[in-house]
Amino acid sequence: MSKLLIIIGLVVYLAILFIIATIAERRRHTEKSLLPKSLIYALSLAVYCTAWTFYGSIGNASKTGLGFLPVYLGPTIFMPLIGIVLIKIIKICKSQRITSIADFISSRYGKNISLGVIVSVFCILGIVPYIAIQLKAISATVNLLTQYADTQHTLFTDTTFYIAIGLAFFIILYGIKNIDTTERHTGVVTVIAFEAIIKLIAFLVIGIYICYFLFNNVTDIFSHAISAKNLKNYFVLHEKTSPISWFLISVVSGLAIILLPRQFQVGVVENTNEQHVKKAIWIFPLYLFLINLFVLPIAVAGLLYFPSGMDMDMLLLQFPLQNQSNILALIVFIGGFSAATGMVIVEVIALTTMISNNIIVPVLLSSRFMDSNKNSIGKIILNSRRIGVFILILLAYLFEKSVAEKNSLVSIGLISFAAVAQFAPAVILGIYWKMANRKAAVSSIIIGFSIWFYTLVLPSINNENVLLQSILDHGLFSIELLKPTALLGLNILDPISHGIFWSLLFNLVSFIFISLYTTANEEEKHQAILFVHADKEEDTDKSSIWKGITYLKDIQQVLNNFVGEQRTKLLLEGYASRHTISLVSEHEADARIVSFAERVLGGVIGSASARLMVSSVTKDEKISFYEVLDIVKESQQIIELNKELRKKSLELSKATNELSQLNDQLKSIDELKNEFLATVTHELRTPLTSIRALSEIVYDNPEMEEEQKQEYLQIIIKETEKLSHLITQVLNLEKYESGRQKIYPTSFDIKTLIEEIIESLQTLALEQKLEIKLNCPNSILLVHADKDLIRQVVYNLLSNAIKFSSSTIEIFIRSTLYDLEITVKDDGNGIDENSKHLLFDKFYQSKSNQLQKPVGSGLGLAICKKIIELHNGKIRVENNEGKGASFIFAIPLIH
Amino acid sequence: MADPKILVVDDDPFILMSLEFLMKKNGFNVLVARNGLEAKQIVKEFLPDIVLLDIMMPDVNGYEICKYIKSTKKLEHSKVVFLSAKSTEADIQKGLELGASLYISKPFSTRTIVKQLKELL
Repeated sequence: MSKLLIIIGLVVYLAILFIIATIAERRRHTEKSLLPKSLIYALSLAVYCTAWTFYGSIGNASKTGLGFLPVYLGPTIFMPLIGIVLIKIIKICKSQRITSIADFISSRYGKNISLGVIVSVFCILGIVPYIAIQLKAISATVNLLTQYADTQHTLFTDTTFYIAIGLAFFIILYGIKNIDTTERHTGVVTVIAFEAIIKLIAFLVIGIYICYFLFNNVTDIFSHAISAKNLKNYFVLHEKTSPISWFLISVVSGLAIILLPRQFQVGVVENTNEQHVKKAIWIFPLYLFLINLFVLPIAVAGLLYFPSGMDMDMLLLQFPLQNQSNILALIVFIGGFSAATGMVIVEVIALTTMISNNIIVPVLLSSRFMDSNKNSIGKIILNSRRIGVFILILLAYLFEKSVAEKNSLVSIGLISFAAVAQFAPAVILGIYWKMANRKAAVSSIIIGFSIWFYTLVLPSINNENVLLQSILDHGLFSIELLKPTALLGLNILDPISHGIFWSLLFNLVSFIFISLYTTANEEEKHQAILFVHADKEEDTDKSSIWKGITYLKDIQQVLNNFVGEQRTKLLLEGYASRHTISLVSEHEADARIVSFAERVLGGVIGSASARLMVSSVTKDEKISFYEVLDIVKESQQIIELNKELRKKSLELSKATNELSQLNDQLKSIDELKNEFLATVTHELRTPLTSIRALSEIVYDNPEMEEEQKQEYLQIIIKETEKLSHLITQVLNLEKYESGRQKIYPTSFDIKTLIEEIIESLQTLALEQKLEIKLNCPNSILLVHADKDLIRQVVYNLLSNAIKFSSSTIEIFIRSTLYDLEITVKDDGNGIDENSKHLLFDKFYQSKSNQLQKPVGSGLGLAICKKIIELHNGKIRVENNEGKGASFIFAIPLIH
Repeated sequence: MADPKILVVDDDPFILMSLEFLMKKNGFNVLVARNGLEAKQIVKEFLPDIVLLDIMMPDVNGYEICKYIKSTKKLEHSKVVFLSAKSTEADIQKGLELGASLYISKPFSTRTIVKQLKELL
């Protein structure tokens, strides 16, 4: 086939791609896209299928039978899990404006720059070979089509070279348009989706051709194969394709769907809607199934059709070429070309983003370069990315020329998978385990990559170097256990599975171990929470809060430098209106605006550099979320204190209430005392009145009759006595009232005391013709009380009884278990029911029948009551069933 | 002219005794009452010119008797004089407001009380 035909075909094809890209770019803000957006997303994931799938699988299948499957089985089986993880990662990246896997890891572990650098470098190391094999596939297929011998040709006759340059231009034109890498590359994604369809159609077409045209049908192929002797063993799974190996490769392939830079780019960064992931969960496995449908039949057919020793990777092209079917050959070529270029475009875009944001920008920012070139920083970054594209493609080209010749597509592909799998613990544990920290991430990645290099890269180097050979054969320092293909003696696995196993094992173990036993700094902890709780967080403004003063105009300036004035204005105004913040340039910027600006910058230069940039215009340190938490805790403590205060003040007001109540009580007592004083004064004045009046009369009437004079003088004397007695009683009572009266208890026999009192009043009783009877038990009744005071009480009661009795007075002494009861019973007129309760009041005097004035002071009973109360006893009066009344008092026997 | 009639009401018998002697000595036609009930009974028939009232009495106090006198048509010319140990400003005010012509506090002087009462007539 002529070169011209190929070139025409390619040009046409490329033109179609450019057109599609342009249309897609124009339509990106409308609803009308060429295909449903969810379908485009799912198809874009198919960038997973590269020239490896297109050519390499068949070559692999021809050697290992079903051994090609795990790479596709893995993603298919794990797809639901992958979907869940993807959705979470998408959420995080959207809110944090993360645009690459290096930025993701760097951001998660405290926006750490060195981690970003490490990840970027390792990505380049791992992916450049992969890019190289795509170029190899393209060149091999071109050479096959043109029957061009693969002999020495210069750079300028090498088709691969021109293809590489063409790719570079396409990438620069459509991939590096904007500095803000959160911008969607809608054109590129649409082209990728388109290429996915082309790949699939091409493969299916050639598959149908081989199986149904060259052979009768698929069963026909297999029946032929079984009969062919040399293929008998073919359908037994190859001894080294053990279940462990299948498992390991499946896992690594599943991880690759997320971790490969190109997969991250289309799966996460380019995603416009999380819901698309749900559709992709079944569309993508379906695609994988369809594109692998004919692999085995074609491989078997190839073994049957072609002599052994041929390069089986190119089988797909050989069939049509051998059959002179040029159109079909072209179709196959275009299919393979799509597969290869799709991979290269996306991979290079992803890698240059990483290089730019995680390596170049930090270097620029920290160097003097920045100070003099502040305003053109945006342009500088864009140009650096463009240069990066060229450099990457150049590296891949050089790699292809030197190393890739000798190794199969599949093995290099798997080695790249194993490389990106080293990021798995850091990424996946990072979004589910808050304890995962930076030290663990750095260590585990380095450990993983070291083992990866030792077990996978080293054995692949086809160099005759003696040292290398000795290491490969006998292990490092001739220690057998350190043999690169059989570490620690494990030799039951094929080299690739072996390498995957050890690198991932050491990686994971060291990650977990170091996370558990080392600490993280504030920023890491904060980011950990942000990432792990991404599904729960609706409000993405919960980023670290910037302390200190930042002027809005400074923020604006920084943003202008990176995203341009217009876009800055748009972004800031949009944010401000959504969150009702006012924007006045001279003023301090609201903390939320500062955080927003940081996120925007993160999309442009990576989160670590963004943080540096913003802190350079902020006058103070950043406050971490945890410091804010501390402040909140403090204020909570203050609130608690406040509550305590309120409680205490409530108690205080209660106490005050009680006090004022007491005061009122005291006041009323005071009033009572005043009343008492008024009454006492009155009572004192009464005898004074008659004393004075009668004295004056006697004095003024000397002619008065002697008898009358004597009578009056007698009255005067008596009233004086009464007055004196009254005063004494009043003072007495006052003593009881004020509590100054003390009792001096002694033990004495109550019977004896009462007999004494009866004795002393006997004369008076006889005068009244009264009889006093005493009723008491015979035994001695010891009572513990104040003898004098009790004497007073009994004396008073007996005197009253004598006053009011008509014939008999009875005294009863009775003791119960607890107290001693004494009753003085008279047979007078009894007490008026209405007055009964007034009896013990002060100054109460009952009116007896006699017209005489009462002798007593009216205070006697009141004093009795006080005395009894001092002894914790009770006193009362009852009317008898017959005549008279009984005064009863009781005092406790035991104190 | 007939002797002026005076009714003395007090629950203290010695005060009653001394006042009775005093009034008689100074030309009054005197009657005594030991409590409110007695007072009411006597006053309606006696129709005294002056009623000398103690206030603090066990059954009916002096104020009530004063009110009774002041509201009885027959006794409109009887003058009420309070004689009491209660002698604060408020008490005196109250007594006068009730219609008393005079308020004398205990203990009193026999010499001045006669003069005061005679002036009332």
